[in-house]
This record gives sequence, structure tokens and C-alpha cells, in this order.
Amino acid sequence: MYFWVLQSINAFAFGSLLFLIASGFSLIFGLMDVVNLTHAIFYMMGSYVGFFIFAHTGSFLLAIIGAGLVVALIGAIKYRFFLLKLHGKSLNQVLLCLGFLFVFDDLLLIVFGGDPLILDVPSYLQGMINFGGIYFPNYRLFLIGVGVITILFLHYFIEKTKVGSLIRAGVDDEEMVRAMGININLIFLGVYSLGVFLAAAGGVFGGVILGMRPRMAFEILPLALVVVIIGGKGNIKGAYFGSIVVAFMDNFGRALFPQLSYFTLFLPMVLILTFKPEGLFSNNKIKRRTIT
Amino acid sequence: MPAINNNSLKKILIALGILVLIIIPQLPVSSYYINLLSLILIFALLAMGLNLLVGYTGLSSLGHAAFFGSTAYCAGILSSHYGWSFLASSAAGVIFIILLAGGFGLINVRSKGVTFLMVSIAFGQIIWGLSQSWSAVTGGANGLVGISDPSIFGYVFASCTSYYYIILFVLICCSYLLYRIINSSFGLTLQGIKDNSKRMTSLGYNVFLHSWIAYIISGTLSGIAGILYAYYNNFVSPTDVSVITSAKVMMMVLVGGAGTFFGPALGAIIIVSLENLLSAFTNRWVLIMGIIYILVVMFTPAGLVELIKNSYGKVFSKGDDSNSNKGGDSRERGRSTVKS
Amino acid sequence: MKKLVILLCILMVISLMSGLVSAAETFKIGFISPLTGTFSANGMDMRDGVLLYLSEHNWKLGGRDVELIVEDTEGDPKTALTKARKLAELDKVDIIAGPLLASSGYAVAEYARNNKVPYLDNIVSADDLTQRLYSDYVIRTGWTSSQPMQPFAKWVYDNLGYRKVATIAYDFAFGHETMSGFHYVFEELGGDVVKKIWPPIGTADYAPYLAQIPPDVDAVLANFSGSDALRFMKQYQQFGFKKRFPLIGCGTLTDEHILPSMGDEAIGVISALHYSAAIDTPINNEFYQKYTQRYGRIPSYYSEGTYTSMRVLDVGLQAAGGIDDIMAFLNGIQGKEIKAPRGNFYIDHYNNPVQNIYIRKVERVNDQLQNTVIDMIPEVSQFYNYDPSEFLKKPVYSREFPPVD
Repeated sequence: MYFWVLQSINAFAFGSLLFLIASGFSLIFGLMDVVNLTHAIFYMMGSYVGFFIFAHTGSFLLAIIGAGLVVALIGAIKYRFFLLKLHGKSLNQVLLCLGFLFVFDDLLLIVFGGDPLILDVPSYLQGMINFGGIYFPNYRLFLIGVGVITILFLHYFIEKTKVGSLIRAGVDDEEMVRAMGININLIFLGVYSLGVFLAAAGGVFGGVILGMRPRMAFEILPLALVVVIIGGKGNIKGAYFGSIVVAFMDNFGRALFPQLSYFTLFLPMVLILTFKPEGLFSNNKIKRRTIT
Repeated sequence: MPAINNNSLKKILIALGILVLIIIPQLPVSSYYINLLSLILIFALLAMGLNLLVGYTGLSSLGHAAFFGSTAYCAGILSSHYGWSFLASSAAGVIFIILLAGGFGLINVRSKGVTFLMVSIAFGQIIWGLSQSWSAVTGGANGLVGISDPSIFGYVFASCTSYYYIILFVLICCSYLLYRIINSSFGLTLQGIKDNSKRMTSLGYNVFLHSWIAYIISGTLSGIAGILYAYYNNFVSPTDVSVITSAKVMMMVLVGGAGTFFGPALGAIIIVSLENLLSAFTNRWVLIMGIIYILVVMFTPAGLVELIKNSYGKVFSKGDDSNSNKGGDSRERGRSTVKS
Repeated sequence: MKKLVILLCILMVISLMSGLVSAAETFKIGFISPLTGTFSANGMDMRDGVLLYLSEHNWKLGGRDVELIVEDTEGDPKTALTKARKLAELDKVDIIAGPLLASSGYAVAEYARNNKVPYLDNIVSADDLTQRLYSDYVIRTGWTSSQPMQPFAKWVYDNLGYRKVATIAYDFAFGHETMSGFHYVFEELGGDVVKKIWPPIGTADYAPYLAQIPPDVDAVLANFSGSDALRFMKQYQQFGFKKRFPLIGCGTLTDEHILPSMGDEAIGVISALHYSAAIDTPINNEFYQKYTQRYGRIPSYYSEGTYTSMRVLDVGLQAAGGIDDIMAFLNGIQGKEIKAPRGNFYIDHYNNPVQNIYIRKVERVNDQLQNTVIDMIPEVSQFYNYDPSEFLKKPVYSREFPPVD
């Protein structure tokens, strides 16, 4: 019982963290058809920059905002001067992102050195909470809250605001939005930056648990991919659900079938690809684009 | 060219190339270079296998290291744990990879474009994860050791030169086979699918079946490269399966030129040599690789073979001219294919 | 774009040429360690140890001029193997030294054995390299994974009084050998290892594994290194385990390469290893001074390991003049007392050091964490107190041996 409850809460916490990374990835993929493989390295960058800011100012909040903005700026530059030049060539864009993944990974090693680092839990989030004999770290509960707030915000932003409706329209039919005389390039740039911001902020939140080290991006990346495959591209609710599913599979897989842990993580993906290849939460319009 | 036509010139060049590859080990060169050349040939085979999908079918896979590595593991495990002979473990490896690629293909080929690419990464990670965590069978992070030296009918190919000739022989056979496939009606159908799969469907072609078979052939060639690799190193480790290896092979295809016959081999020569020789000067190989990647994608998406061809006449590349310039075009069309 | 092509060609030609130039008469060391990738910090510590020794001795070992060729393994065994081949076949080095990871070590050792290339193993601790897979060409100056853990089991049994222990460590040979070495001796004494948990290398979140620790154990024995150790220790504290079960471990868990990144979670952890930067002897203090001054970091056991391996090479070359006659070289080092920051030691007939094992406890001194030495077990052999031939009849320590009952 102890084991199951603890693991379940933990899966929620880990899933919330995953959602921060995957939601931006999914948004960018959904709107621009860009499989942003660089996303995982933006996460890492967020961790490192956040560590730097936290070490110098001692403010966790500042670390999150600062890292998010700095990395989002780098992302915006990358989008404007590289990705945009290949607009419409999805496969070339993926490969470009792959190139950036390697370049940024090595640059991080040059700038921050190869020492593994880990962020400290801010003092006000330290300690544990006791659920009838089950101890659980406050920080992880906090992460669950961050996940919920993020999905509420993104949901409101996309479903209820004018910009959000343009984004939705852009996902469905880019040409139509262009024809309406709207500068969709600006929206693309904005969504890309927002996605990168989420990844970088996730890097700060995650840096407390996962720490940072060179080449870590290559381990984060597949998780984000699986989340999007399960949740459906561009779908925020799907990304949240997918993150939680992946986290549960990972948590229990590791504990119950340690030798096959990675396999259990990918099992739901294989099942969904077989029976509902457009993802669990996508509507028909998206289906039309995903599956030719 | 009045005296010799393009076709016979090409044949002469190929014959010359093979001759050079046969002679090199007989020259007084360090065994290191023969080993390096062996490695280049293995990766050339892997890249040519991937090219059948990327360049000729229009399916970009970033999971081919999984086929390469898992077959290497399969042959390696049979050799080290069960003492199977070189030929027996190789045969088992080929059967294994056909089944594995067949199974993965059933699911993966249902998607196209960037979705196909994402799924291929995820499949690759499944194999990577197994190789890493299923330590009872694969040796886990320690890698698989104890693979014997290859031997055929009692003759042990212990020296690097003798094994080099095996690799060369297999590469030539596979290339010939690949050449015939690409130039068969099946191959032409694949190129039709790459250009416009909707049209091929309406013309009555079974697009799924064709893509699936191409996927299996491509995976099998990569698997054969994996077997050669397992016996080359006497050792397999999870990094051989990782997405980084997949990315490297993809880069060979792109640098050389997707959809050109010898492009991937050229890419393998460049990437493997650079990786091994640059390390004497700098530790920034990853950075350099990333920059090459970006430059190639931004500026020469058609690859070096196209570049050379445009500069020095149409000597390289596959015979029929209808195929020239495809590498760049098709990826431009990628989006419309995905959207249709 | 043509420029790019030309540039690539030039680079290739230059690299080819570089291999053809070689110096004569100097003693060539080919050194491999991960200088990029996940393990780059450890790899650089290793390289710096070598550089410190050589520069202290004017780049001369046993009276011969030394040339050092450094290659990067990227933490990847196949790259390590490729680089070892390059060093042996192209650069014609006299000896290959390095690497860090056991997987790379196995691959390089196999190559060394088959091709009769001397291999100076200064860090890789895989037990069997100097036990069941013994070779004249594999000379280890570091340790075997189980070497500190066997006496540590007795020390824990006698001094801490723990009787029931759970283990959690890497799911590959390094983890298996350290945990099982402890396990074997601990159960022989009458203690009980009730559960062994094996997370894979690079585990992001240890919570699923921590939840499996049985509630009635006296202590938890752990072994990780690098970023894994960092995450493990933090999470062990965050989930409140540190208050419930004292943490003991193999020395890499709190090694100096990672200790500066740790915080309060590390305080009080007791571990065993053949080195601690806090050993208070003149020779270690001098080494510590020089190293921190030069590289701005505290020396880790990786730095000391490669530093001392150069000393061993020095002693061997002094005696034998070269390494072409491997038996003469081995005669020159086996059984000879070797001075080192870790304390004097000698090399046994299986080419592994017989050395002091330190019991260390993490303490905060002058606002800095350190591995304070609280006890020392002198002259520990890789076979512990067992007879070597009897010891070698057992299977190597592994995931399955000894079994948990």
C-alpha cells in the first residue's frame, strides 16, 4: 500500500515536470509542423542558466523567469534566422534542429564545464509532508501544483483568448489565416518562444530533481516524443494526459520490471500507434495532417 | 563525351574503385588505416541501407542504429553466450532483423513525414533501453564482450586484413543487390511514392506494402552492417544503438546526398574519417558535427554528390537523369505530402 | 559551398599527415579518457593527474623522455577501443593508459591481451581484469571494485553494529562487484543483506527504487558516481530516508569530484576507498596543494589514480629501462614499495595494488565538505584475507552471486 501510494503521487509529480517540457514541444509541433528536437537542449539550458542565477541571487522565482527569458531569446533567434529560412520544409527543419542539439550540447559543456550539478530546493519548499505515515517531499507536491497551473493557463490562453483562437486556426489551416491578412509569422515566433520558455522554466523546476550534466538532453528527448505521440500533436490536454501516463509507466515499470523498464515506458506508445495512431486526444482535422 | 558514353565510364570508375579497395591492404600502410577503412565500409553499408528509405522512398528514419545495433547484439549474443559460428550467428542475425523490421514496419510505415521520423526515434529508444537495462542478456551498460573472431569452415579471420576482405565482399554484394532493387520496377514505384504517394495510390499501387518492403530491406541491410560490426569490434555496447549513432548515419546520407547511389558511401568516408582523425587536434568533435549538419541542411540539402555532379558533369550518381536533384526537391515536398 | 568542400579536404589531409610524423627514442604514452560527454569532468581529473606528475618530473620517466598523446573516448566503449587501436597501431605508443568506464576498460583490456600491448589501468576497477582474466599486459595501479568493500563489511559489522542491510547501486559490473563484495563478507560474519536494488546508470528519478527499501533495515549501502551520486543523495534526503536509515557506501558516492556540488545531504555518510583528499600525510598534503593550485579543484581519486600510475611507470622504467620486455617490467614493479599520496603500497602478482583502505566520513570543515578519515585498514589485497587460488574458484561477484536469500 505504502509502495503504491508513494509511487502514484510521485508519478504525478514527475509527469507534471514532463508536461512542462512536452507542452511546448507539442504546441510547436502542432502549429508549425516543426519537430523541435532542440527542445530537450533548451530544457538543459534552462537548468544551467537557472543554476547560475539561483547561485548568484538566491531567488528561485528569479531563476525561473530569468532562465525562461534568456533561453526563449536564444530560441527566438534560432527560429528567426534558421528555422524560418526553411519554412515549409518540415524534414529539413527536423534535421536542422538535430544539428543545433549537438551544437548547443557542446557549447553548454564549454560554458558551464562538465561537472554534474544539481539545484537546491528553495528553503520555503524544503521538508516533507506526512500522509498518514507516508512521507512525501513538499517540492514534489509543489511540482504537481505547477503542472496544474500551467495546463489551466495554457488551456485558457488557447481556448479563450484572441491570440489563442488564431493559433488554433493556424493549426487547422495556415493558409486561411494568412489570407485573412494576419501576420502568422509573428504568431509562429511567439509560440516558438513560448514553447522554449516553458522548456527552460521546466529546466529550472527539473534541475532540482534531475540535476544537469552533458548529454542529458538525449535522455529527455524520447520522453517528450512519446508524450506527443500519445497525446496527439498540438493538443495541450493530450500532452498533460500523455505526460502522466508516461510517468506512471516509467515509475511502475522501473519498480516492478527493472530489467524491462524502458520497454514498459514505450508500450503504451506502441499500443496507441497501432490502434489510434493520431493520438488519444486529437480531433479529425489533426488526424488528417498526421496520417496521410 | 564522344568516345566513351556515360554508362561505360561509370562502369570503369566502379571497377577502378573496387580494384583500389582490394589493393589498399596490400600496400605498406599501418593496420590502423585498414581498420579505419573497414569501419568506413561498414558505415557505408549502413548508410546505403538507410538511403533506400530516406532517399528513395521518402521516409526519414532516425532509428536505424536500432536495427544496426540490435542485429549486432543478436549475432554477438549467439556467438559469446552460445558459441555459435560466424555463419550461423550471421544467418540468425539476418532472420532476426527481417522479423524485427517487419514488426516495427507494420506500425511505423503507417505514418509519414515528420511523424514517421518521431516514431522511428521512439522505436530506436525501445531497443536502446533494452540493451541498456536488460543486463542479464546484453551485458547492460558494460556492453557485450566475448564475441569470437569470425571463422568460416575452420579458417579464422583474425587479422584485420583478412576480415577487411569479408567486409568488402559483403558490401559489394549488398550494393549490387541494392542497385538492382533501385533500378527495378519496385524501385521506380518507391520513387513514385516518394514524389507523390497519393497519385501512386490512385494509380492502384499498394503504397503501404511497397513502403513496408522497402523498410524491411533497408533494415536488413543495416542489420548486416551490424553483424559485420559486432565481429569487427568483438564488442557491442548500448551506444551503438543510441539516437546519436542514428543521427550520425543520417548525416552521412545527407552529406553525401540522399537519393544518390554512392552519396551515402561518400558521406560515410567523410564523417568517419573526420571523426577519427580530427580528434588528434580538438575535442570539439560534437560541435563540429553539429555545425556540419546545420551547414549541409541550410546550404546543400541535396548533398555533396549533387554538388560535384553539377560542377564536374554527371559522372557519379545513379544512371537515370530523372533522379537528379531529387534530394532537395522531395524534402521540399515533404510538407505537402504530410498535409494532403 | 565549394569552400566548405575544400576545407573538409584540407582538414582530412592534415589529419592524415599528423599520424605519419613520429618521434624516436622517447617513451610514448597513449592516454584515453572521456573529455567530452557525460563523464567529461572525471575524464579531465584523470588527465590532469597525469599532467601534474609529468610536469613535476620534467617529462621524464625512468630517465627517458616522455611523449603523451591524449585521446577522447566520449565515454563510449567503442570509441575507446577505436582510439586504443589508433594509439597502438598508428602512433605506436609503448603503453596505453586510461580509460574511466568499466565498459571501455573491458574492451581495451581485451585488445591489450590479444595484441600484446601493455595497458596501464589506472581507474577501471572491474574485478576480473586482475583476477580470472589476468594478463601480463594488463597492469592495474587503481583498485578492484570489491577491494575496499570486503574489509568495509567487517568494519561496519564490528564498529557500527549493523546486522541487516539493503543495497542500492548501479546495475552494471561496478555496482554488482562493490555490493556483492560487501555482501559476501558481511554474510560470512553473520550479517544479512536483505535486498539488493539495481537502478540503471543515468536514472533520473530514484523514487521508484527508494520505495523498495524494506522498512526494517539498519542501514542502506549505496554506490553511484558522478551526477547519479548527486541525484541519488539529494533524493535520498528529500524523501526522508536519511533520517530513517543511515547511508553507507563505496567511496565514489562521495568522491571529491562530486563532493563540492553536494550539500548537507552528504554529511555523515560513511564510505570506504583507497583514497581521500583529506588524508593527513606530508606527501598527500603536498599533492593536494600542488593540484589545487594548478587546476583550481580538489584532487579526486581519479586525479590521484592517474598521478600515481605515472609513478608506477616511473619505477618500472627505472628498473627495466623499457616495457618491450614485459616480464622485466613486471619484475621491476611487483612487490616494490611505491610512494603515493594514497599511502605507500605494492603491486601483487596479479598486477593489482595491495594498499590501505580508508574509512571516511563526510564532514563540513571550514565551510567545505571533505572525506575525513576516521579509520584505516592497512595492506588490503584484492583477495582480502582469502587465499588467492581459493578466491579465484568462486565466481566473480555479480548481480546473482552471492544470492539474496
